[in-house]
Parts: sequence; structure tokens; C-alpha cells
Amino acid sequence: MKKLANKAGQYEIDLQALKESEARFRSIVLWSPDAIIVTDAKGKIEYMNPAAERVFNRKMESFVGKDFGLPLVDGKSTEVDIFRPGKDPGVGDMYVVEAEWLNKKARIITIHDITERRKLEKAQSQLAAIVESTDDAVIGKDLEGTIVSWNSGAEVVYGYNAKEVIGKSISLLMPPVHPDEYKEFLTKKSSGELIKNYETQRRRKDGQIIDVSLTISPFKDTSGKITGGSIIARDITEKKKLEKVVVKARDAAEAANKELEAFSYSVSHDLRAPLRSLDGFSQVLFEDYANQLDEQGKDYLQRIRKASQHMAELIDALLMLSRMGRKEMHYETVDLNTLAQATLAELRQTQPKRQIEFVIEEGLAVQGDSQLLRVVMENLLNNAWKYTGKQPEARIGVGALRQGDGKRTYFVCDNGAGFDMAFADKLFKAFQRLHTPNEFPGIGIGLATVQRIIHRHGGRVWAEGEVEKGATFYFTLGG
Amino acid sequence: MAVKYVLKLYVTGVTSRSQAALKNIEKILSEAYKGAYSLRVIDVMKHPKLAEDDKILATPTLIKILPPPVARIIGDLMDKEKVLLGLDLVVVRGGAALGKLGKINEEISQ
Repeated sequence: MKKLANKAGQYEIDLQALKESEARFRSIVLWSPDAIIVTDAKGKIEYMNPAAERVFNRKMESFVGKDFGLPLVDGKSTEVDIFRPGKDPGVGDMYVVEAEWLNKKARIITIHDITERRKLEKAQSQLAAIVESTDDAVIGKDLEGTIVSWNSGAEVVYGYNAKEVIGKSISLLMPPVHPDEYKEFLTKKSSGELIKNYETQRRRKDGQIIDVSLTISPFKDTSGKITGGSIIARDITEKKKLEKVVVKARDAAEAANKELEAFSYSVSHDLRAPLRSLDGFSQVLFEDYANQLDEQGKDYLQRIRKASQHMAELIDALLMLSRMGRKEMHYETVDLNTLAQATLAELRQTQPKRQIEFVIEEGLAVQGDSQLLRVVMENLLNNAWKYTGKQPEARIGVGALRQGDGKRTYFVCDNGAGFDMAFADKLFKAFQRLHTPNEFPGIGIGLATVQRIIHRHGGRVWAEGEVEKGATFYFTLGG
Repeated sequence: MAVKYVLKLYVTGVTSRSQAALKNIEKILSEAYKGAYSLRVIDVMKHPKLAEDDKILATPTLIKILPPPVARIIGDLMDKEKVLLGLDLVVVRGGAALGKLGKINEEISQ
């Protein structure tokens, strides 16, 4: 009796142990992050765990009793595409084991969802492909400056292959003359600072020193701690060489300009001296020997004097033009209204009796060289003044047109003699005139000067006109 | 030759697994049943309704419709012998008819 009771107690304990053990295994299946599908020997689904419902985005009830099929696994596991209606397809690693389920032969199929891992791997391999495809050297290093990665661009730029340098110190690439600069980089890098397009020099495997542009950024782990850095190096040796050529060419051009300037001055001086003699002696001849010359002789002498004076003017104008092209530019805010008012005031003094109506717009502040812009306004207004000379009711206007993009086009207009648009392209050429000096005096250098100054401001100048109906000169000032 | 073998292959888009499965199964079928089979390839991305009707959970899934009985296999379609056995199609090798599912099960559990 006692024995029997003992036995019953034993059963109870066994049953209890069995229940506990079952509960443990149920938990494993219920809480497993992997999809678990149990099929019978013929491939019919008997059970799907909650994770399977999540992985396949479907309910277990609709699948129990349906055909899953015979899983074919090559080796340990095989990859399958996970179909989940309404969501992007996933990727799973499928494992299969033969087992017993409710005393029958069964298969337990486990599918480990590797969708995210695959996405990450894909992104990483794309990044790796980008790193490999660039011509720039992309180098990874740890905090001690040991090279940890080396792309094919680095092989080309530095001449070392990855095997030769990985594990070595980055100082391998330093030219002997830059030891301190590297220390500076290390401090900057450990402070997490990004260094962009820093131009310096490095040494190739063959000993050649190359110019490089470096971009250095820190690697951080998930906690934000810096674990190393990436260096992107672009070989700019060729670019530097080209820059040197450009600088050389510019220096040569500047030297030539200076020479030309000196030449212009000496020419003007040397040409002027004989001109003064021509003019002076013609005058002496005219005054002292007038009684020995007939009218025709006197006329010839006057013509000689006029021609020599004209030549002096031409020389002055040429000098002026070349000076406008060479003068150093000083940008400041310049009010074209003020310049126009001042110029017109001067012009009025020369011919106080002329009746001219001026319309000058307010607020014509521009950025430019005040001296050069004064020359522009003087030339344009002198022209307006001159070519309205035969107009009984002369009008001169100065203003600006606003373009759609907010830029402004300035203009000086008049209702004077105007010009034929067919000759508009000749207006801005030096010494080309549309009128004879008898009609309107001048030597044809003003608009060429204006154009040169406007071009130096990065702008454009053009004109519209009609014979006897006036002319409008437009200009912009770049920027 | 009359079509004696009718099969459906479910794939997902153009993943490497889909492409490999298609290539493998075409090779296996053309070697075993040249001219006598019809294989319909169904992309679950383009025809989710068909996939739902056939209770597809993962691809590649290959379903043999004819000759009966209907059989399906899922996963790796590399091994010709395993594939044909899995589809319940007897393959003759060295004059001996090989077994059916039971044989496969043994191989898998090995």
C-alpha cells in the first residue's frame, strides 16, 4: 500500500516535470524569432508558430492542412524569397530537420529572416563598389594611424597595393618635410573635425612627391566614439602643373602689358615733341612770313597746324583708352544719378544758353569702380549733349530697366541725331564715326572707351537708334 | 511529342534565387523530358493573386500538376535527382527505378 502510494507520488512528480518541460519547449517555439513550420511527411502544414505569421504576413489558420511542399535544402540551409502579400518580398535562410510530431514522421522547417541583413549587405556592397570605382584614393585608418582599408584608387595614386600597406602606418605616405602637419591632423581628427579639400603633398611608393587634395572624416562607432578615420585623396599634381602654367602665362601677360604701357607713354611723349615743333613752327611761319605768302600758302599752313593738333588729340585719346583698360579696379557703391547730375552740370556751364530737359531717375546705386563709371557717364552724356545740339527741344534721360531676374539694365537716351541701326556695330569701334567732324566734332574714341570699361565690369553695352529720332545706350554691370 | 509534364514555377521578381531556379529547372526538364513538358513561370510580384490561391509562402516553389499526383518542392533546385524525386517523378538511373519521397527524406536527414 505504502509502495503504491509512493508510486503514485512518483507519477505525479513525473507528470509535473513533463508539464514543466513542455511549457519550456512551447515557449521556445512561441517566442522564437524564426519562422517554424511543421509539415507531415507529405509536406502538409500542421503548425506555424507566431513568428511564421509575422515573417509571411499571414494567418496560420489559412495554412494548416495546405501543401507547403517538400523543402529541398542543399547542405545546411538554402535561401528562399519570402512572399508576403502587401509587403516587399523578403529573404530567408531555410533549415529543415526530420523529426517526430505527434508520434508521426514530420519535418520541421525553420526560416530565419535575413531580409534586413541582405539589405545592409547590398547597401554595403554598393558603397564598396563606389569606393572601388573612384579614381580617388579612399583609405581607412584606425586611431593609431594604422591603415585598415585601401581601395584601387589608392593603389593608382600611391603606387602601393593593399597587401603592402594594410597594417602599416599612414606615415608611410608622408613626404619627409611634413612631419608636423600629420600630428596636426591627428589632433583635429580626434576632435571629430572634418577636413575638406586640404592641399598638401604625399610620397608615392616610387619616391615621387605628388600634390594631393585631402578630405578626412572621422569614423564613429554607435556610441559616437571616434574609432578611426577615412582619408579621400585626390591626385592634383596635374592640376597644380596647369595652375603653374596659367600663373606663368598671366605673369607674362602682365609683364607685356606693363611694357606696352611704358611704350605708350614714351611713344606719346616722343610723338608729341615733333608735333609741337610742327605746330609751333607753322605758327611762327604764319605770323612772321605771312606777307611773303599768298592766300593759298596761308591756307596750307593752317591745314598743317590743324592736322598736327588733330594728331595730338588722337594720341591723347589712344592713351586714355589704354589707361581705361589697365587701371586697377576698386569696387564700391556708386550712384549713377550723382555722376549724371555732376556731368550735366559741367556741360551746362560750357553752353549755358542751351535749352535741354533732363530726366534722371533716382536710386541708381551700383557696384563698380567710381572713376571708371564716371568716364562712362561722361562719355555717354557728352554724346547725348553733342548729338542733341541741333534739336530745338532737346531731351536727355538716364534710368534703369528691371529685368525679370532682378538685374538692371541702365540707359542714357536722347532725342538727338540718332543713327542708322545698320551701322550699330561700328559705334563701339575706336576711330570709327558715323558723322563727319563738321557735322559733330569728335574723334570716335568715347564709345570704345565706354565699352572697354563696361566689359571690365563684366557687363554688356549696346545701342538702339533711328536717324533724327534719337539714340539710347544700354549697359549692364555683370554680377 | 505531346506534352505530358505540366509544371508551374513561382519566383519573386528577378532575384538571384529566382534566376538560378529558372535556369536549373529548365536544364533539368529539358534533359529529362525534352519537348514533352510545359513550364509556366509565375512572378509572385506580378501575380500575387495566383500565389495566394496556391498558398505560396516562399519561392522558388515548383508545382507539378501533370502527371498526377500534384507535388510541390520548395527551395534549392540544383540537384536534378532530388528535384525529380521530390516531384514524385521516377527517374531511371542505371536501369533501377529510384524511390519516392521516402528516399528524399533520408537524403535530407543525412
